Amino acid sequence: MKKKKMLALLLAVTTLITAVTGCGGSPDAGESSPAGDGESSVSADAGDSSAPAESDSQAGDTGGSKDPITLTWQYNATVDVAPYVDAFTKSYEEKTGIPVKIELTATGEDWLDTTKTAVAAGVGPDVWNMDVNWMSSWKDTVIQPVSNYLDAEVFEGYVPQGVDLWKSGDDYYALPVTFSVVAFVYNKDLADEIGLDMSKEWTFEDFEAYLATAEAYLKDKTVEYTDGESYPYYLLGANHTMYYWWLLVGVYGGTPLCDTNNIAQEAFVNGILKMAEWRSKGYSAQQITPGGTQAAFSDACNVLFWPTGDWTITGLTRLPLGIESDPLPLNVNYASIAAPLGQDGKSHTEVYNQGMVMNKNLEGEKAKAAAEFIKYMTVDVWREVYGPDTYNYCLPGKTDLLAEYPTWLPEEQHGIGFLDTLEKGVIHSPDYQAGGIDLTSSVHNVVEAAYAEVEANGFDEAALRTMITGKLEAEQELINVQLEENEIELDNPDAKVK
Amino acid sequence: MQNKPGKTKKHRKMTRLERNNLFWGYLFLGPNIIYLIFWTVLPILFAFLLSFTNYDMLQHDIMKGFQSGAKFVGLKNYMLVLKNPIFIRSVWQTIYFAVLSVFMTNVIGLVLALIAHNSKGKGFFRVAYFIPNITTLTSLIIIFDALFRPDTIVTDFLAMFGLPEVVWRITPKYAMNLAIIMSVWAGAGYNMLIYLAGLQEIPQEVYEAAALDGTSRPKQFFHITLPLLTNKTFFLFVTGFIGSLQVYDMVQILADFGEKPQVGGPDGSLWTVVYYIYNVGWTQNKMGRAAAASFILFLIIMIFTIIQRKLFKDQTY
Repeated sequence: MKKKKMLALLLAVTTLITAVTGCGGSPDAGESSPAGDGESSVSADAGDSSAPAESDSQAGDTGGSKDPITLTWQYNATVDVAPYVDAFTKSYEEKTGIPVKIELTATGEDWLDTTKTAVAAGVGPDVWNMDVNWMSSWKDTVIQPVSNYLDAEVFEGYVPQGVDLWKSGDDYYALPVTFSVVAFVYNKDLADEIGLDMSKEWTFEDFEAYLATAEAYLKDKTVEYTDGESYPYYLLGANHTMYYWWLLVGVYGGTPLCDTNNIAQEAFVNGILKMAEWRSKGYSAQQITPGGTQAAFSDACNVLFWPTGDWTITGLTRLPLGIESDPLPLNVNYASIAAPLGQDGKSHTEVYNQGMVMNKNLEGEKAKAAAEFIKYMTVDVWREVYGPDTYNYCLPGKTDLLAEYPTWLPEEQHGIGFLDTLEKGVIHSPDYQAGGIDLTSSVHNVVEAAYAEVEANGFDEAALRTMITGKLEAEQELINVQLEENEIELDNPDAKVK
Repeated sequence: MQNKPGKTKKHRKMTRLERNNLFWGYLFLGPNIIYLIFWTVLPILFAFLLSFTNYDMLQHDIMKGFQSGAKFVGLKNYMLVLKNPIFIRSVWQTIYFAVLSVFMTNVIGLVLALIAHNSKGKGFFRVAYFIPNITTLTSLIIIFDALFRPDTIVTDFLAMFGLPEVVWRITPKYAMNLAIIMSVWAGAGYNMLIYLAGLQEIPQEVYEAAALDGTSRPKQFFHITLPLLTNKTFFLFVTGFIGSLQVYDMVQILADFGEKPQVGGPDGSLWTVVYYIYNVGWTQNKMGRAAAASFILFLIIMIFTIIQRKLFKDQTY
């Protein structure tokens, strides 16, 4: 019994101590890393997106610190990537002597919230990759400008359309690793067979004429797929709003949501009405082949136009990282073209841009090392480590690599549309968060409601216009309530379509 | 020794042995009490204080305490939450989810328990019906999403009753119902176990006596079995509602599932109170307002629990 009493006493004291110290804050500044033995290490939290990397360096790491610096890089990908990514950090360590510890977190939205919370608590990874979608929400509160620690000339070597998305005032908050624009891939053989001239820039009128011609030609035609089933042809391979900003903003002249928190725009009414019309005509791929749109386009070859990001074409050709993998089945002879021209004579597109950012809590030598690491990683480290035939997804962030981009794809026609979009189009940021309120979800609600309406009651333009207008206004009211709660200025206080 | 009227009982002093036992008793309880205080009571108190501030997780450094920049705003957070249409909708959707899922889980759990109780191979049924309870949520969503879409055996069957063949997960009218079906499928096994234990506690002699009196089986069920299971039913209802009113992970994963996540689900049909709290606190970073919403949820759950206590008060045996 005495033993049990002593055990109980010990347990009580231990619990008390751990409870009190567990409530404590961040580690001491300058605390050395457990991986300070000069080797980089990878620990994979496969599927566990609730454990952000702990940085061993916090605010207060002064320039005079003699403790060895170790960086923590949070990388969001699958566990399979770990050995390849590890090679980059080893390469960096050989050059600089600074070990980099990698924490892999599963992709998905959770890592955003856990990383943000960790940084707010004074910990968190030193550097990580993120999409530009969160730039406005995170600048200065979660991330800090990398331009504070790098020379201005560094930024001149990057594709402006990519790096400028990370700019606020004179500060750059990231260096772009890769980015994608949205353009059209199309089935070239099918387009030639129908007699569509895809050799020039096309206006929206051209696009609608091509759709009408294709519809007449492909009516009643089917494709027999490997599952033994017959599938119709589809003229458009995408339904979701994210692939139609060229229509809402470019063709109909809407204001992109990176510049406004107003979704109740006349342009959006017209654009959504057009999307509903196409849906009613059966243009959009619905009951497509098993394997989704990608299989339908590349394998069954029964999709004519596919507005998509260029991650699709790098995905078609170089999955998953161009390393020890086979491309997807590719039976289609495809090409790409910039989206139809907008009212201003240019293609409008949004861009998906992944950059490397740094923790706002870093200071001094540690911060400088983090910035240098970011610069190193956005150099063509892939090709340096794995050879010229490999690269990550999408268009490269650096200008000199962009010139080589066409050679990375089997045929120049594959990527030409995306390059044209980048060079001649108007690029919009996908940063559609207004104080954490997702504006694009609201637009998509209206699109889906329009789709449901045409499926239930057919295409009645007047009724649909009224419905879409009412729905956009209702969604805007909800947005306004949340904006007011967060004390953000309203761009459309009365929530009426204008 | 009885007290004389008008005289208060004198408390005698504890013996050394009694004091010793008391001390060690509390010491054994110590770790749990400490844990409760530090990880439950104090955080609740802290959250309550936060609910009266405009604390923003990214703008204000909470480690600086009263120097963090967060300001006291009184009841403003509570008023904002109660006026927010999304919150109001989430309350109704949460109650809809809770009522349907708790009732159906209990009914199906009872049916399964009756089957298991009256069948040979109780052990097998216990295991088989409980397996859904331990299925991971993501697996559950993948399976049910694949089942509740056009041209599957499930939707073909439901079409016989006039239900359209749609993808339930992305259809506003059906997304929450899909969540309820998943919840019932996963939860009925646990309820079955509880009811099974209750059925086994009912003496067989009661049924024999009823049979001798000529009572039919259905009447035995309604007048013997159900009343004698009231305490189990009360427990399952109370705990069921407490859990269901806090539904979050299922609806959020459903809303985020697939290529294009939709905040709040299709047309906001998957908003629940805890999902709203998470969105306000972790996506919009307004922890003060999220804390206020969580205390409003606490009140809702308390009201449900009080109502159930009143309903079951004189009926638990």
